[in-house]
Amino acid sequence: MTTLASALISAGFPSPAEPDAADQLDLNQHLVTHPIATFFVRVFGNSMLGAGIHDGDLLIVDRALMPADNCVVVAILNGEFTVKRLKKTREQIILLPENKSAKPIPILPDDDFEIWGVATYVIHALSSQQCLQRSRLCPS
Amino acid sequence: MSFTHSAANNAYNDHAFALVDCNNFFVSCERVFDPKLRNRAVVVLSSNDGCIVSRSQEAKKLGIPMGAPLHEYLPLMLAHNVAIFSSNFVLYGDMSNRVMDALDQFTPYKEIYSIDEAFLELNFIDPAERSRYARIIRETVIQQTGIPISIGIAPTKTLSKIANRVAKTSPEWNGVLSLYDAHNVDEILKITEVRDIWGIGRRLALRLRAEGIYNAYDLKCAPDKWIRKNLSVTGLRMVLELRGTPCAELAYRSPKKSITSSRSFGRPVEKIAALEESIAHHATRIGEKLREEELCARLLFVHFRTSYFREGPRHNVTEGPVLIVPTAHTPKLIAAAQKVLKRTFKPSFAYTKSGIIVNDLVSDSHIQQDLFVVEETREKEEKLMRLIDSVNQLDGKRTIFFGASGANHSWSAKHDRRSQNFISSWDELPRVRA
Repeated sequence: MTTLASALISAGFPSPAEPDAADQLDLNQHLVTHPIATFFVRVFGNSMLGAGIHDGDLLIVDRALMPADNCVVVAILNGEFTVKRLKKTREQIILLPENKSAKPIPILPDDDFEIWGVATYVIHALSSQQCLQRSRLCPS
Repeated sequence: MSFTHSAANNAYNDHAFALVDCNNFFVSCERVFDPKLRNRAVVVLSSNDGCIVSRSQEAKKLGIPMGAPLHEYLPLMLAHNVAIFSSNFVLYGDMSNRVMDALDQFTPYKEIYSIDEAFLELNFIDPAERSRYARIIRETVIQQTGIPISIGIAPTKTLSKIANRVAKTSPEWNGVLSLYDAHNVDEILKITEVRDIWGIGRRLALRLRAEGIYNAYDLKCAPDKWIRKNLSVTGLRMVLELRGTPCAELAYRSPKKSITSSRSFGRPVEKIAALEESIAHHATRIGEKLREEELCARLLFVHFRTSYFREGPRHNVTEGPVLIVPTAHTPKLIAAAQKVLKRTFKPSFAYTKSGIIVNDLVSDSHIQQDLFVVEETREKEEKLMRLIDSVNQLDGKRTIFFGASGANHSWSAKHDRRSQNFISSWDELPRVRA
């Protein structure tokens, strides 16, 4: 690992282009608090558009977090993964979509229901893949 | 000497081993990412789809035995809509690491015993609190990783294995059994057949039964003199452990962490055939070194690159780790390495160096035989490797060697029913409906 001081000593002046692993920002550090409990999943469907979750987006799911009221959660409902906002009242649990065309889902006693993890971040591409791949010469 | 009696002396208080074991580990891994499997019978097959190496509770209830050949049970499984999977070692390796790391939240004293088992030392927890502590461990691991585990706690490793087995198989314990608060330890030993005691193989179990020793309690009560005469010192140690006297500490990983074999080529090579040969050579060397040290490797890296100094396009590959069945078996190492090479090789580069690195080394006496490979197959493999090693030592290196070209077809593993790369591929992530 090169520190600023050692770069000064070895090269006479610090090169702004010199990569330094310790100084580089790591998105994992920003997005993944609990690596052993964190998983990535792919979204399909549009029921959570209001929360900024689009079809095809990547979700970061943290299983170490306690699912509290108003969290966005990935749940298993009757054998299928679903992402919704969690509404916990004293009487019942409701999965809330964030799209007017979708209805709230109250969890019934007979449902096979489990909260799989808390969705912490969504990664959403802002442009088409075609656009994202068109670059000037630059190593990828 | 009874166990409750030994509870009074110091040895009892000084040691507390917890054996953590993942329930039906491979099946549980599949279930984390596929909710449809939760109430369905599921089995996972060995690395070449030969036999069944992991079964869900529902599959066990159907009478499908561990290690059963796939073809024998296929009709039964199809009739009962059993979900059948090839081994997805990348997935299981990742999930194993997560479970093992999760355990570090609770104790620094951990021995990873196999892909799905670890011994912990919990002597710093008050004896009466140990089962409560273990419940917290269990709940946490299940919540964070999705993998259900069982925990057995006892003053010796052998007893912790027994406690774990009972915790797992009797629902009344709900996954945790501490012999520190079990009222009658002897009753637990009585329901443990000798063949289910750690370290007792099939043959020894038959011999013991012939002597009228049917369960762990019988063995615990056998006279020392008889044991020493019939079972040697190892047997005596096992019996002492059954009585509550620890004879084995936590074994940490072998000091040797990794083994490398690599070399620069005489002149640059472009063809995959040449690289394949060199990789086979390195795999052979690594197999020899592993067997010399009585170790098996779990992870393998393949490395090849163009020159750092010559002109021309550059390609530098270090691919791995790929998870392999813990092995020191040369054909398996060759097959694993060449598969990686095939996947990562790009033509039209002048390669100047290749090599293989293996790490995550475990002592080969620690490998549990029945998990992946039928015992006899493994014995045969070992015999073959010993023969080759001894011939090569007598007659000089490479008297007997593996024809690398033959490796390509016959050793490539079958995996027709493998699940998605849920963790290791962006294109295969679990899908959730919004």
